[in-house]
Amino acid sequence: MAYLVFSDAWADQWADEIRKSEAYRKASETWEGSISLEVAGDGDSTPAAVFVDLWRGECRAARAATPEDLEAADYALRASLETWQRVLDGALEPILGLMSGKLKLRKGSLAALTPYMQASKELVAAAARVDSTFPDAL
Amino acid sequence: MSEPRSYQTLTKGLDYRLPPMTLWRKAKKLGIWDPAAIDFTQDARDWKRLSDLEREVLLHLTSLFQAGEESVTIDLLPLIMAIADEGRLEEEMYLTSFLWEEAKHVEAFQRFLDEVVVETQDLERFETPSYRSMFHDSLPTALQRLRTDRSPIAQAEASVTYNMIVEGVLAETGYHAYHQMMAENGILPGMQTVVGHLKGDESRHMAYGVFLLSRLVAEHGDPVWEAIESRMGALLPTAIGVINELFATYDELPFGLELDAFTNFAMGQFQRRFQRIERARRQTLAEVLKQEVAKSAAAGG
Repeated sequence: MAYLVFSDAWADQWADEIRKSEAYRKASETWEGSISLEVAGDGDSTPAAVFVDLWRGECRAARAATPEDLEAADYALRASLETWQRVLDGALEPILGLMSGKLKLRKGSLAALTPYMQASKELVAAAARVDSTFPDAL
Repeated sequence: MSEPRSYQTLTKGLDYRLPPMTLWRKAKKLGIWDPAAIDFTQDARDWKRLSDLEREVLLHLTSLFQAGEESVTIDLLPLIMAIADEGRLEEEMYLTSFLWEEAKHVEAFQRFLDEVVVETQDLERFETPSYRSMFHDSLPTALQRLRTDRSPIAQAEASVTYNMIVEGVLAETGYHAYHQMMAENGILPGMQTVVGHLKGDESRHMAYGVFLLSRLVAEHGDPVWEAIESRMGALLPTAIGVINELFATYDELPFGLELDAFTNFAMGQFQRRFQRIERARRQTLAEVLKQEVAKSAAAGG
């Protein structure tokens, strides 16, 4: 069954994959913080986003982000739907996305993220294992 | 007997409008500083007054720059040979200044080590795993490959490694932070002068790299673009690793050094260049050349 990307059901599947990933656990043993992945809409609007709470190798929660989640997230990454599709398909490395400006860091510091590049790759790999569908537009 | 050679300068002359000729003109005016003429007298006095930690961090950075400059000096030649073999005389002319400048950088750092630091001990102690991966493997492999493979993709991967990653992310960013650190603390005036020259030289090197990659994308299309993107994605973690490993060596850093200053500067510079190269996907070669000429004119070139 395919899940609509960044929906609650998709977030549940992603959380399961993260929890099963020994590689993610090892790469993120010291990571403490929540992240929102946001689809950039017109202006400042956010037509879709997913929130994930990650703590020392564990995934404590994952869901379609609420406005409160967007406010509370320690790190927030924004990109077009097309860019997220490329990231989740493995066609665009998250670090290249950040460095090239295709992924924008709305909250948080790049310097704090860079020691966790392997963890970010494992998060993407976990997402890639979810059978995902992408809407044509949001 | 080989085919008689036709000399460009006897048939059509030089195309002074080409971006590499603008860089060549600038290199002749701005790149003529002499490392042997730098006065390190005050630097030697300043060095003795620094704390042990300040000296160690400065020596760490300096040794990474020095080995990096030596590495790029050694590895640039195959790219020049590839460009020369394609009969791109204007580009080859500029590249002669490029290599000459890299060699001068090696001399400048060596003078600093010999005359200011003096007691260097084993400098290889500063080489971290990411640094070794970049300068012992990725850079030499990509450039030396051009001895046998001069395909557009091989040239693009070499230029990404050399210009976009080693120069653009590591050297230029490092020099920016290094210069600020010395300038803001009013120390090492000789080295400040050197790094000021280095930044000017490197800006021309980067401009050539952006031009070369844009030209390759406009000429050869998506296969080259995809190779560029893939190479950047593969090397950025190592490049960022070099910076992170340097910072992780020390519990506290002197001179107000902050990791954010390095990464934010690197990201800003990288983004502008990435966008210019990406634009070439939708451009013809003539449009790339026109854009570069216009940019140079706007910059007073």
